[in-house]
Amino acid sequence: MRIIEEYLAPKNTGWATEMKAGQVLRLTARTIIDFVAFDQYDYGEAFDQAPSKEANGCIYLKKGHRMLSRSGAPLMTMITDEFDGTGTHDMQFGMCGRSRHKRAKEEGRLGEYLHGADMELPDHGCSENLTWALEPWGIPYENIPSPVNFFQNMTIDQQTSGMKRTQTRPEKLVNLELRAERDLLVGFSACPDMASKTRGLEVNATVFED
Amino acid sequence: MNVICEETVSPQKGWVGNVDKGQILRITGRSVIDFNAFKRDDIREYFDTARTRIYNLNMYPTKGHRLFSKQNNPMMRVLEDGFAGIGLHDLQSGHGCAEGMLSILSSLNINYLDLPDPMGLFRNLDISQDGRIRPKPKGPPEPVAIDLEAEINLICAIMNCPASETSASGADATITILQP
Repeated sequence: MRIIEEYLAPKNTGWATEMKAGQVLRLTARTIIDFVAFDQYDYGEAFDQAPSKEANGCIYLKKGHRMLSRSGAPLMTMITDEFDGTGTHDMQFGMCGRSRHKRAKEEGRLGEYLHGADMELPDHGCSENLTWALEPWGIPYENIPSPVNFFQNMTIDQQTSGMKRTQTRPEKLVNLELRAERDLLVGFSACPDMASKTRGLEVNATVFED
Repeated sequence: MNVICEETVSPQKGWVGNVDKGQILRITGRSVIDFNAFKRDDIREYFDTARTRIYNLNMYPTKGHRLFSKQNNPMMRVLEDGFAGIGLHDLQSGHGCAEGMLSILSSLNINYLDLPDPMGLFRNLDISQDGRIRPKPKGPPEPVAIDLEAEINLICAIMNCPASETSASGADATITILQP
């Protein structure tokens, strides 16, 4: 195994990098990670939740599942999931950020979203972190797709279809591994994770090849 | 309420039009209808399925819910949902007939890779507890309506999808714009 690149993203920051087809991205964390991917040569071919859910036949991203682009091209395959058995990775929620925190506070709904009504809110979140991380590649916010939210576990009420975020996270650091199916630009945000007990932690990213 | 416009949309046909703030867009149908909406002043602000799900904290849109934009602003309010109790509208799937939607949006210069994921009206799905998705076509026996009130000036677009494994039937849809 040859390590191409390694990066430690502090809590509530983002990072982006390019990787080659066949290389593997390992994310080591116990906090929510908002993750996106783009074809390196055509940023319009961005990860898209809807075709990915349709192709995998599942609303969660699990081991063996693929992340597809808008036109259905495979971008990445999840080859390792050490969160399996503890919780699921989400493709329902978009990104947190300043606008969502602000609106939730104004509407008196912080408790519904974040498990706590009187917390101090960060001035930015995943929307801003991903926007800043992808700025060098010239990708504006409106072209950043809704992400896969790793470690964002939820329950669905079978009667009302209401979605409820849980505080289930890995107890200790665990690995996720995603293999690039083509040359990619990938980006992520180490979520402030205001719904968790930790309120956000660092994320370690490693790109390697065999 | 005054009827501003009323149009029949055959299967595999679409409709695009302005809906002003305060007006109600009534979509009546019994087969799958893909829906997109854009802020009229700036189409880079578009209806977004993820923002909508999390605002409502619900997997499916229905009466009382609001439709939200990518920039997390309210776009529309669901005033009535005649499909409630029969089936659920879909916020999971991609476009059933993307080419048709692109052709009706051609005046907006939107290409395939910029086309936002739609709301799939009358597209009933079965989602099991472990997350598996199965199409479960369940079109209403008679046409039913969903009423969407515009909270800002919008361009709205619908595609009436043909019958398929996800759509119970190919039937005419009706678009009505009402001014309260």
